[in-house]
Amino acid sequence: MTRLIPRVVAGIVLIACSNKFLPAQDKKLLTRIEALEKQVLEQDARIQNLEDMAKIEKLTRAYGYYVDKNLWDQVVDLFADNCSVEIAARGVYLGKRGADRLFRGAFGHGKIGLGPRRLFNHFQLQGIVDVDPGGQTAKGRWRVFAQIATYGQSAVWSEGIYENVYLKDHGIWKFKKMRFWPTYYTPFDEGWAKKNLSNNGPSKEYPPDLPPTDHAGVYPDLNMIPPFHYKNPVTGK
Amino acid sequence: MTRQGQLFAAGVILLLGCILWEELSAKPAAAGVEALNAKITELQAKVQMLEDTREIERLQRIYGYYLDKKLWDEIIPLFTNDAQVEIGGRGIYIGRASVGHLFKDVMGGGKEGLEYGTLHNHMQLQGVVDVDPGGKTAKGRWRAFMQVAALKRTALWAEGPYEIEYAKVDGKWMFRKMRWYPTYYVPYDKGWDKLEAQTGGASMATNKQYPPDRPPSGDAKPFPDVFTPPFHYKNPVTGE
Repeated sequence: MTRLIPRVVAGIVLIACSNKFLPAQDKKLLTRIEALEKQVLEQDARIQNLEDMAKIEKLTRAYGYYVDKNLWDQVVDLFADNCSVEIAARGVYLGKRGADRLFRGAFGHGKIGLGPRRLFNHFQLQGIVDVDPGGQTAKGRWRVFAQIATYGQSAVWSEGIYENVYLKDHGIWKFKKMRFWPTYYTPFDEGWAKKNLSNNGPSKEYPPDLPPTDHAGVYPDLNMIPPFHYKNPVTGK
Repeated sequence: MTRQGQLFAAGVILLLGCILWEELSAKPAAAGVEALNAKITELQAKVQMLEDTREIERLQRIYGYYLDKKLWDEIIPLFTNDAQVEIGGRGIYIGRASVGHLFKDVMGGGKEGLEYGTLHNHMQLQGVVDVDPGGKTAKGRWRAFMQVAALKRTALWAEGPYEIEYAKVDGKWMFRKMRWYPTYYVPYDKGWDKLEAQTGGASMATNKQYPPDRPPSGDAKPFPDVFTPPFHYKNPVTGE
């Protein structure tokens, strides 16, 4: 019996250490774990997509709050190096330098920060964000609702549509392309039925790199629908 | 002990060892894997719920952009076959065909698209979306903020909440029930405080050519009347 014990122990150790004798249950477990690993990766991708959408929404909303206060340096930082920006009928501005020329130049007249007696609210609303397969680019449609005023001089309601393209640059979402089509510019004290201002054209002092890409009109002549980046969610057309 | 007896004893001990091994290793491991599986299933359900909420928000906002431009042919397919819609005081339209008449004929005058001089902005804002347990139906509250105009004739602000029921049909979220309650219709140049300004016009009347399937609920009238559209949700803090 005393000679038997080491042999038995050796046998157990042998079984324990050998994959060849791995119980069937353990093999089943391994397969199970592999299946679970696959499921975890799938959930990871879905969560990544949700996180990307949240970050893009934050980017767009942050942009709006900076625009409100004419913080053009902060605004320009949100754009990718090879961006293109086209606002209303002002023409196309290319690259970050172009974005700076448009925002700080044409909009801010070279100044950063909202001047006294001025109002420049730009609500960013109703965002539809779709991350492209691969997760490196995305598209978004938003509307801006704006209240623009200079105290004692003018007060205007404005509204319009953005179609944006976003780019993930070293893990950070940025604006790759921004296109804005205004719907209306209406003097506060008159309203749509009575008076509407025309679209904003190219700046002479800070000219665009390219002329406007279309002839979209503003109210009352809404001659085109800003193209949707998405298909009808039910018909798929 | 005979050699046979020794072998037998060794076999028994080996078997016991194997059983012990199983007890010590495989069973806890199996239990661990099952716990992980349960956790992943739970995680899947949470992700699904977030995705469904996103899809519904997307549907609602897309609806709004179509409505801005009176794209009725895009809007009508967003409703289920058995959809029920009541907008303002126009009455209740039941089934997709009826709902089609409400949008395209009653609200759109039979025409697709915005005509020169018209404005039909319907911003879809402040969505509260709750997916029901099971993930096949959902409810939402949204507000529409509207700028509606016809050049040289009318210009008005309007606002009001929607209460909506959504259904997932063949994997796609659609509108099953939509009710919009007007809070106010205000001519641009008069504002909220002028009594003659309070009018819903055609929005508060039933259409004779394309009558509703059921009369208006009649409970919600715009400012200066006050009505609180029922909330589909409980107070998120008190639960009441």
